[in-house]
Amino acid sequence: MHCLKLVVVLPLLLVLLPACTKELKLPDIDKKGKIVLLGELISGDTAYLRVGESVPLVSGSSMQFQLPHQVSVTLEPVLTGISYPLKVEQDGWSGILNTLAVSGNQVMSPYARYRIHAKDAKLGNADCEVYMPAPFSAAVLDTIAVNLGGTVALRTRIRINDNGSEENHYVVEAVKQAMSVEAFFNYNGDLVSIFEYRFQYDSLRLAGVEVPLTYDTTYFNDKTRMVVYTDDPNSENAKLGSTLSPNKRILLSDKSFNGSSYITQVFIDKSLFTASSTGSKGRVLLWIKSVPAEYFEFLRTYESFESVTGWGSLAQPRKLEGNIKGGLGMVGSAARIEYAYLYDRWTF
Amino acid sequence: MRLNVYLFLIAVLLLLVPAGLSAQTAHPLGKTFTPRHTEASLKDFFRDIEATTGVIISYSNRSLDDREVLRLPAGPQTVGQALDILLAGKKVNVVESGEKILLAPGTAATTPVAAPAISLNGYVRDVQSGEVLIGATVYAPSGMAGTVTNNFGFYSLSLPPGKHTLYISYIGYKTDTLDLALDNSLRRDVDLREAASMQEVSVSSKESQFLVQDHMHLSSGDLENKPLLLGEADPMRSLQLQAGVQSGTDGASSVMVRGGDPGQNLHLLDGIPLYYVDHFFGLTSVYNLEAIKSIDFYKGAFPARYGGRLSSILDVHARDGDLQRIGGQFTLGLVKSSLNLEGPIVKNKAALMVSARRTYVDGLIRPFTKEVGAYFYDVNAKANWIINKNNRVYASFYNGRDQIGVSSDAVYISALWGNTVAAIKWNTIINPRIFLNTTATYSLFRYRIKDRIDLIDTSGVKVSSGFIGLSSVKDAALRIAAEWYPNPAHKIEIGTRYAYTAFSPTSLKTSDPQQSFPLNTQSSLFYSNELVLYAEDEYRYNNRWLIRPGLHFSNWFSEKFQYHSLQPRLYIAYRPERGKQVIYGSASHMAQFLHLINSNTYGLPADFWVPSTERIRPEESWQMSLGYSGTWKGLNYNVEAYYKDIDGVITYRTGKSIFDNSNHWQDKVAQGTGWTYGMELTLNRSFGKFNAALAYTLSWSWRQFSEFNDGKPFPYRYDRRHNLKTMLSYVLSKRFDATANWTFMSGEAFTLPDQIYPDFDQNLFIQPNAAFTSNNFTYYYTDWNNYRLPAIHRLDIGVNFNRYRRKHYVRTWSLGMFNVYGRPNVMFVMLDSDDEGRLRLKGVNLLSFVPYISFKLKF
Repeated sequence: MHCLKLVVVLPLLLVLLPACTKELKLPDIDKKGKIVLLGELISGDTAYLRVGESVPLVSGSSMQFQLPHQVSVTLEPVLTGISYPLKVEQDGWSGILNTLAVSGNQVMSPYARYRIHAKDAKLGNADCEVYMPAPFSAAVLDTIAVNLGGTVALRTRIRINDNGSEENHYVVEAVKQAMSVEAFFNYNGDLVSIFEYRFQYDSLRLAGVEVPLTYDTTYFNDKTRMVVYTDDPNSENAKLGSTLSPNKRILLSDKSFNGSSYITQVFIDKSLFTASSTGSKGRVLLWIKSVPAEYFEFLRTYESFESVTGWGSLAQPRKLEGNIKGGLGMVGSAARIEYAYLYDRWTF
Repeated sequence: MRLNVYLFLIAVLLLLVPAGLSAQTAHPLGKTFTPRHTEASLKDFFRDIEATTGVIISYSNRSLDDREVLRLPAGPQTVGQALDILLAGKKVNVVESGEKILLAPGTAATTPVAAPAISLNGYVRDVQSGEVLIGATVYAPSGMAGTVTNNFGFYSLSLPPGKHTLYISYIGYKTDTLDLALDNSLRRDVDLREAASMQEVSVSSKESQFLVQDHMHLSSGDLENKPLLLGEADPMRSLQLQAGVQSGTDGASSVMVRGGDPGQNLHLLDGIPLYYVDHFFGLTSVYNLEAIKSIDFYKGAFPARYGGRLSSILDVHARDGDLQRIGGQFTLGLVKSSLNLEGPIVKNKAALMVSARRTYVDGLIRPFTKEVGAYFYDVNAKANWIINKNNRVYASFYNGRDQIGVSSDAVYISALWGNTVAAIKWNTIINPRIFLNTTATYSLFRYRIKDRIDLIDTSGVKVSSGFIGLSSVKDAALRIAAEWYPNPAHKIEIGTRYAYTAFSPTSLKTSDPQQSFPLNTQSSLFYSNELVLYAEDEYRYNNRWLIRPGLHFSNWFSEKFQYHSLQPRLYIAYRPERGKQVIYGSASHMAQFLHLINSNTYGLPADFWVPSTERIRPEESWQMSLGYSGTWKGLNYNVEAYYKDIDGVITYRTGKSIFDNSNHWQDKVAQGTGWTYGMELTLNRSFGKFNAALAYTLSWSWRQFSEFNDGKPFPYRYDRRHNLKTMLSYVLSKRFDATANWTFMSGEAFTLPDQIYPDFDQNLFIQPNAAFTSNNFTYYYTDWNNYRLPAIHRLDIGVNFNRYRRKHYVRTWSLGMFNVYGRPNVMFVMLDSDDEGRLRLKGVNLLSFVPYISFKLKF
């Protein structure tokens, strides 16, 4: 991280020298895009993933992702072999995420295997198979705020009880989920929003009337990644970076557990814990997940994947190998335990 | 391992036995003979020998046809050498009997036994400064014997008794001639005078007679007067003009040799290994030209005394210091200045040289920004003391530092790195035939990064926190090397080296005691020992063959493990036609136990030296080369083909922070194999005041890693098919000279993604954090290095105006331009889209039309 900052110095110094850019030819070959499947299926939740289309890097390609409106997606439990069509639709996120929403009513059962099949007349077929991990137990033992190399962080001690009978890999991550809290009060017998009836509310308060409030909380889909750190030498992150390296996820391989109870420390950067603007307020979610090996390997590569690698350095690019045959992307699966922390305050 | 030691010792013995045997001598064969005709019958030649030397040659006409017409070279030679030529291929035995020579019938062609050799030895020096000259040629045509001075300017020749004329030459110096009558061993130091003209002196045919084409010797004259980037003369840039050598990224000072990585070059400064050789983002190297006397550069036929790297040896010799007078040089350039001072401490007995330079870019940009700063400095010093005519001591020192820093109101980050090296050498001439050098060296490379963040806490109090990161490689070594010249046919080198190295890949400590995390951490310190033994015999046969077998044995061990490597070396040269052409070939096995984790070639401190471990095996290579060189109508030419096989080549796996190599650095690197092959052509010719040179390389370079590119081979990033360097210099007079270089290199290989698809995390509705370099897309790679960047070419020009004042004062103004026609040679590649959203691949160029001006005062 720090040397990457230092690399910034290079262009600054080289302003002394004349710089110019030159357009280079992209390969002039006939190459098509592919179906892209992306998602993480959670044991006990209904099926939800997203489907998109890749852009081939050839002359004339556009960086604007197309949405594969003709694609059809099915879900098939391997045990039954019955194929269920999933609903593919453009939603409010499609323009941002460049994918269509794919959903179904089927609840993803632990221990079960599922096949997902996508078909498009132009892009061809894409398939994958996922295994839904078994439920597991884990707990946050305690938390404390610490100074982490200049960053204020919440240290969480987490105990994970590994199931020794199967291969389990564990992932710990933290996100801030956007949420809104709306307050209501009784006014002339009706429950009204404090935002709409601000004057009346303030008048009552000034008159010395105690006005009980009722709150309505709405959680939004959008989440912001929170930086996590680890000092666990058994973590994959320690092998990829150091204790000061920022991580998206803390990755603990099955080899570290061996069917035992395991305690690890995860540090969450607190800089996003509180927000001043209402739109940025939300709750902090700490997720502890058990994932199968294939998905774990993808996440391990994804952790070290940087879009700049290979462009300006001799470091080898990372090939993100997903589980989609005939297409691109990854449909992962996880059993998840969630802890929520609320640091933001809403005043009315 | 034990078996290898035995093999090594046996091999050493085998190398030494022939030398000892051939040291046995007899008198008549050593007498000097000057033929009156160069072409005559065998009988007439025998009569001629009898008439001029008194040596009677007896033979039977049944065993020898004396009517055969043969040729002998003109000029003085020994009787033995004349017979050697005349009886070549004939089945006779040459037997000395008193003052007679008997030619008895034999079953195989027999070489005459050499005359008792008399040793002639000494130093070759610059007459003005007393500085010894490395690689100077000493040649005695009468004895058909020659040699070159070693790294300390010492030579030793074994010649038959009698009169000899000695020619002593060195590039840029007037050839000196000595007439000697040898009857006893003689010590003769020779002082050469610098040639008045600055024009390059081509290698003479006399020098090529020595059949040694194994390396390139560059004197300070060869290194100067090249077009420069920002006026910075640099030995590394001069090397880039040689065949088989390239710079990697255009404009950088790094060198990559025959498909090797930068970490596969051994950099020696006065015999001390340097671990980091770039200054200032690769603008220049740590080698300060003003402090350098000469460079020996090896890329194929490695002598046995060298080891530890696979691709090349860069043996840099610093100036010893002027033994006669106080003088120096001051240079004022666009980005730095330098000062060199040297002079006698005790005239003709002891001298000191000190050279220092520093950039002032930090001062120049300070009025515009105080947030960025960068500079480098370095200091070279060398002292030498002639204790007596047989003993001399040298002390060398180098210290260099680079620093870059970025600061703002709340954040301060700086990095400081550099080498500190020192050496003490003791040369002793044990006897006229044995030269011994003992060297003790110390080398330290240190990298330090400081990170400080100032925070204002909730009570309004300023709180500072941060950390200091350190990385270092430290080694101390003792080397003993002996050169033995038992007779004219053999030169034997034998030596040993022990090195103790301490690695500290990373250590972190908090700069604030109040800070609770991170704890002070240090990756495992690693100590290694290396023991090297080597032996080599340079054997000349029949003055047409040179055979140099050698063995280099290295044992690398620590408490946990040990690796060893037995490295055979062989160099053979053959001259089919006297003085004109040489055919030569070599085979070398090399090994290196240190690895450079290299993440770029921009001269940033992003490279870390790490040792071989239980998991990371040493890098090893086999290289074979075959060459042909000679002179035709004034044109010096050399063509050489090579093949190199590399095992254990190392590369970075990820784009993660380059400093975060902690205890798990082994997980961040991948090891694979590589192979490279090609052909090199070098031409050089002078036309009056012009000198033209060309160096062309046609090459292929491959890499293979099980975890990349689905395990399939892929081109090395700097696999350049064509690499052409041309140079034209013009010396009008000693007051004006001009040089133009034109460079062409095929584009480097580059991994272009195959597809782009939407980002995974974002499709889980998780928006990226600013701490990560994130996009809303992901690159999907299929084939490694599947795309070729455009070819690099550019023209660099430079002129020097010299003004001579009094005897020692020279004022030089240098002007020039790098990349005259502004070719946008690509240094970085970016992908973006145009206004209509179409993907665009863009190459970034930083070095077009870069002019320079510099001023130099020599006094």
